[in-house]
Amino acid sequence: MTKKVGTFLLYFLLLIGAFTMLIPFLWMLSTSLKTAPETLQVPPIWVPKILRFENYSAAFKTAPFMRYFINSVVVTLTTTLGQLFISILAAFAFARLRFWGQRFLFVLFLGTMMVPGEMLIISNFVTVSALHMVNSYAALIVPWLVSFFAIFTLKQTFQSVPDELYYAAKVDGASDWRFLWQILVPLSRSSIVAICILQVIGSWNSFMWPLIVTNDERFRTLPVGLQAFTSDAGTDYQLLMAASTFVIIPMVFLYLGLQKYIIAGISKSGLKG
Amino acid sequence: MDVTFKNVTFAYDNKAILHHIDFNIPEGKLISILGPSGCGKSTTLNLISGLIQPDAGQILFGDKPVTNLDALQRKVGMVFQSYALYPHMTVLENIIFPMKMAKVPKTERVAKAKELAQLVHIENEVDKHPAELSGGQQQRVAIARALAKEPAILLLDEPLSNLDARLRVQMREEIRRIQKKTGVTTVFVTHDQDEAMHISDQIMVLNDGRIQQFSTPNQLYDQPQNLFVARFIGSPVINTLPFAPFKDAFAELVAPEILAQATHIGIRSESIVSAPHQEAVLVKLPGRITRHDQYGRELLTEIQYKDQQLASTNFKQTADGDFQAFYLLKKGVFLFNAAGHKLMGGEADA
Amino acid sequence: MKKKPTLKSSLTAYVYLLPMFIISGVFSLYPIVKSFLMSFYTKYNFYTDKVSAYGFDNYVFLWKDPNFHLALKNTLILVLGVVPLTVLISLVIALMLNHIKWLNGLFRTAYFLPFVTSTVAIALVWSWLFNQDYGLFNYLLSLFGIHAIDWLNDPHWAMPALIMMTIWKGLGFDIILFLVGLNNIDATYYKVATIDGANAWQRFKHITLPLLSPITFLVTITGIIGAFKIFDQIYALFNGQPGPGQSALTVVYYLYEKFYTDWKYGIAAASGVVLFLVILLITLIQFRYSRKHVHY
Repeated sequence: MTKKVGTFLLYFLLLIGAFTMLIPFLWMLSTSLKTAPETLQVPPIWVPKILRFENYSAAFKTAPFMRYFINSVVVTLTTTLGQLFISILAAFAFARLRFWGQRFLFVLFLGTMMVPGEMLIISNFVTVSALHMVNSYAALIVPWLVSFFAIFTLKQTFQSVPDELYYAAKVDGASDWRFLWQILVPLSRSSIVAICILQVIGSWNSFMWPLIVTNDERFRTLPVGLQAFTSDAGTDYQLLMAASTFVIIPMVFLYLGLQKYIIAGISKSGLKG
Repeated sequence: MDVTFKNVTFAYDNKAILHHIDFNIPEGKLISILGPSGCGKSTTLNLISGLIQPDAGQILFGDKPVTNLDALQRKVGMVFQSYALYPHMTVLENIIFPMKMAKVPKTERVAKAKELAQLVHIENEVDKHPAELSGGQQQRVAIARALAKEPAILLLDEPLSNLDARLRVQMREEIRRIQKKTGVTTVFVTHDQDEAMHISDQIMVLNDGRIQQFSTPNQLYDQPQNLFVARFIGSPVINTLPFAPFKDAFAELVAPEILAQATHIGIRSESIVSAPHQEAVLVKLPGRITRHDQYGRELLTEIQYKDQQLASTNFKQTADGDFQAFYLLKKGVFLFNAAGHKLMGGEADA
Repeated sequence: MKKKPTLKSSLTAYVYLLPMFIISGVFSLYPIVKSFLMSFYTKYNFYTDKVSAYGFDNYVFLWKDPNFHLALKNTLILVLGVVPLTVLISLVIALMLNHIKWLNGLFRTAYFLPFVTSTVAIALVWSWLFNQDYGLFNYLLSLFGIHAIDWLNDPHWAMPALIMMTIWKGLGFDIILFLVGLNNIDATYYKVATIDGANAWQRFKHITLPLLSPITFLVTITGIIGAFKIFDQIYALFNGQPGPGQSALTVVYYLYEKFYTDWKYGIAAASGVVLFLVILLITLIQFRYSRKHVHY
């Protein structure tokens, strides 16, 4: 009897908690479908009488969100794929190959992970300016092509593949290069997917660096564009919420679709700390 | 193709693993490299494969020096202890992989892979992934994959150690059958003397990075060149006892210089009998039975001779209080000097 | 079978590492060195990239600047406000989630969702929730007879608002880690403890908590480091301002302002170095602790 009550209480509390977590999302969606007067109604209404999807097209007309969206997609995909390629190569070298300075380099790069990226933004901005890269895709992408987090996670994954498989591939006539791409990478698929998703989320949502290196709206990414839009939209909260929804929704879908990889990725890498 | 090692040395972390090894593996034979763990047998195999290179010495395949060629260039096939099948590929893809690396035309390699699958009796499993196969089946796939590139030499690194006892016997016969059928020169690494004895044309016994003896299984058993080989080969383990208590009894039988040098005597358990039939007898010794047991078809008798205990598996007569003496047969009794070298024993000089 | 590296094997490896070397050399290693150097620039012309004087002036400035003191203080408040609560709440939720099977996945999804959303976009939503006249929060408070709070414009309430949102955003990550930790605790311990007569609370106190301590520690450390770096949500929540009357000015925000608004690169770099040293200190504590305690 007490057990049943306990279980009921557990579900009750969890449900309240989950609902609380979702309130901002629900409030956002609800507002994005209201008319301007409806947004100011007290007490607030959750479901407006008529769902105003035209708020989305209105927001799109007020600011070049399509352009921002394309920029975000280009930057996110290029960063993720480029970073993946570089990480795979480096992780393979650290995990499988023998070279002079291996320990030193490993510790050196591990150590750089401790340095907060915010500290590097100043001199990276100076570098990017010196290279005349301000307001370009290159400025948004290139500095983020190396992720030590991705390299170390992949290194661990590669090392978990038994040595004998490497020797078998060698005996079978595979070069290092072919072993990497035909055996190691397919075998590390779930890790790679996890790293990619986390990177996609990170790139898509990144704000400070794009804010600093773009002042031309042709190169703004969604978060920066959205922030700029707030000053234009002023108090038209239905438009602001529509735009916010538009920025948030792709990652939500990505997360819902590939949830298990994200959770596995965080569990694995988080625990290594 | 035959394999020759000339004065090969290999060290790891400044610790010598192989000391100046010389041998020749004849073409078309199945050779076992046998020894306790850490003796250098896997290192020897890896040196043949080209996965590692020696620090000194020369390795030849036929007449061709291959010392500095890597595994890719040597054209060897290898079966690993864990089989090392590619888990993300089907059985057929696994077998095809080496041929793909060698850029064999597509239709040809599929046909060849199917042929090999038939040879190792896994033709019904070719579309499965390795994880869906039993240990024995994985083993078969690994052999087929190793044979796919038509290797000059087939190397097997403790291939049976992950199988249960019954399957191990079965697979060992399979390997022998496949080797005979293909005629490929095969090197088989194992720590199990019984396995080596059953499967090999010749056995190389390794210990401490040195070859102890390289001969046929029967020669190893009948004519061990040293105490290590005598002890390592045969089950139950040969009786090894200090020679001193036997010295008087052997005074008439062996040359005085041998008598002077011998420190240990090795006696195979089947060479201790209660009454000889046709076998040549070496000596009759006084003693008494302290224990006599039968396990299925196995007999085990413990005999006390002076203050020494001997074990016999060939003692037909049951224990009687009045039993006074036993016989040592000529075959299966060896004398060793302090360095462990054999001084006497074995048919060659008996 | 791994032998010592040779010239050949080293060269091969360097080819694989080359892309990483180039990019990280330019955008990670060089800026680390450069940032340290920059923090000693006292006269610097950005356009010509010429430095005419070096010195400790920037650090002296930070030492004296009340704004920097405020930033440090606010950051500390943020850490203290966010981390303990996040750890506690996420532990409780993880424990509850660990007890149920049905709908477990759905709950996880809900709790984790904030983690994947754009901070800027969701901070905008929060600023709307916090709206004094039409926001949902003040409406809910009014149901309890509490007067409307001007969350975002009252310097007293800006920090609590920021803390609330930060906790909300970070819960999911910690819950996932706690769930992994709980999952790693061998169920036989609980069986043995039950046989030994431990009740539910005693089992929690003597098994769950100690065996979970490495995770708790990890979550705390990452939480502290994360809280030190908070920037996006301040920028978006307060519309490009560090809160009303600098009330939400943090170290990173200070760095951003000095660098991007005031163009004081040397001072910005110096504040970055201070941030780095604090994080380094925390990381070192983590290393020490995990060496000592995290071995089961």
